[in-house]
Order: sequence, then C-alpha cells, then structure tokens
Amino acid sequence: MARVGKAKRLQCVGYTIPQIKTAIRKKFPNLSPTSFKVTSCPDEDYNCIGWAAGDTKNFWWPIGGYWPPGVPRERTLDAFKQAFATKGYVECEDVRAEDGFEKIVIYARDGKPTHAARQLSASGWTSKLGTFADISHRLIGVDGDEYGARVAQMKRPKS
Amino acid sequence: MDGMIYHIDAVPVFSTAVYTPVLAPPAPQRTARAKSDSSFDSRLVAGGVTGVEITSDPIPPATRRRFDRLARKWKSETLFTSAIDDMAMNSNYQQIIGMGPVVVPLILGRLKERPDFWFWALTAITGTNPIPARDLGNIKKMRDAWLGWGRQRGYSV
Repeated sequence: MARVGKAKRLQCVGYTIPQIKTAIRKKFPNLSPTSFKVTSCPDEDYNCIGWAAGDTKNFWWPIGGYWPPGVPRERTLDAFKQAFATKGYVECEDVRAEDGFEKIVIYARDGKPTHAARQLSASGWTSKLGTFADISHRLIGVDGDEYGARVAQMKRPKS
Repeated sequence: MDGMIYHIDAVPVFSTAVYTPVLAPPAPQRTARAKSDSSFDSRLVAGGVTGVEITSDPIPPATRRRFDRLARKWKSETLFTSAIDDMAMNSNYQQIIGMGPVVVPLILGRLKERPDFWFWALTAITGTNPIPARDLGNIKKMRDAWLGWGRQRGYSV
C-alpha cells in the first residue's frame, strides 16, 4: 500500500494516477476532478469497511471475509453496526465534525450495506473504493448508484 | 468443521443448481486425484464435489479466451465493490463457475499473479474450501491456501 506523502508522489503498478481518477469519476459522477484526491494505489488486501475501522490488513465482509468474532455473519445494517461497535463506535445523530471524535458513515443500497467512509475533517472524508484505491473526498462524492444512500453514522473518541 | 465453511449457509451459490460439476472427463491421460489426507479431506464442503479430476490435456484456446474475457469483465464491473457476495454473483463470475473444472488452472494462475476474490469460484467448482476460518479476510493467506491446494493436486502454481 503506497501512501501519498508531502514529498512523495504516488506511483502505482499498472495504473497512472490520471487513469485511476478517470476510472473513479466514471463510477462516481458526484466527484468533481478537484474535489477528491487519490491517496493509495489499488489494493485487494483491505476494503472500505476495514479502512473505516482502521484495519488495512483484512478485507472486512460478513460473507467470506474477516468479520469480528461474535458479530453475526450477515449482510444487515445491524450486523455492520455491531462490527463497528467492536472498534468502539456508537451511533450518533449526524455527520458534523465533533472535537475529540472520529465518525464513520455506512451506506446501503436496497437495504444491504455497501460501503463505509471515515471522517478526516469538517468536510473531508476518506473511502477505500472496493478493491481499488483510497480517496479523500467530500461526503456527497460517493453518494449515488454504486453505494446507494447513507443509512447510519457512528462515532468514537479519537485516540 | 463449521468454522471452515464460511459462506455455504449464507449464500447458496454452491448448489448444483448453479453449477453441475463434471467429475469424470472421458479417458483422462493423467489424473491427480486428491490424496486421502484426512486433515485435508475434513475440510471438504459437505455435499459438494469431493475432488477435481485434473487432466494433462491442454486448455483449448477458445476456453482460455472466454475465461480471459469474462475475468476482465468481472473485474471491471466489480472493481468498486467491497461486497464479496456481489462479486460472486456477478454474471461474468457465474459464467466462469459454469465453465467448470477446466478453468481451475486458469484461476489458480490468476491468483498466483495477484490475490483476488477467486475463492468463491474455486469452492463452487471443486466443492472444496482449504481456507482455515482464522484466515478469512487475509487475502494473501487465502490465496496461499488455494495455491497450496493446487500444488497438492499437481497444478503448476
């Protein structure tokens, strides 16, 4: 997993950054060219759920992936909330930034969870896009057909 | 044993309604049947195929082309999803499963090149799941389990 540093330029095997950005924008039309940044190369090791939970070693998914012990292996919103609860998250009212807390948002389509994003700042969020790249973005950027709608938000104290 | 069968109950994609395995190809030149290794065989999916007949027949070019085309389309259509079940239910992926044991070496070759979610297809085709429950989600270990399985059965991976 290559990260963007201040002095380092991200270089990915098999893709240029413009190619990655173009592919992402095709799928997420709410992301304008300047409203998001590619922050990692494509990587199958982890996914959005693990990324939101702070785990880049495991691909979190209730069916066929890593899933916290004791949490039902079912693709329901309740099971996803329980999975995040194992990392200290509790449900909260909204997605506004709160001092001392970090928040995540869960997306669902047709009632099935699809995605999670993690808050970085007042208007900045980060998402791992499936087996593709990580991006930093505005929350609205990943709303839409691919992931559906935001259905829950949770928060935990910043460590 | 339940711990080894991670999604058989949740999503019945492994049923023979989806894929009807062909266990005995006519007059194979060479077979490398699963050894009766109790530690390994204990991991076989109940009710599934108990092994895959491997032949040394070359893979027909048309089969290889079809597999490559379906694999590319599958990856392209599921690149942004985290849902392993959605990846597996993608129509291209299902067609690959439907191609049967002939594509096992092609899938293992892809896995060797780069870890990816081929595990569902391999289990659906072979009826076997060599991935220990503790390794679910660790895609490199999941990949290694399948490559080890392939080597045990004579695939050059």
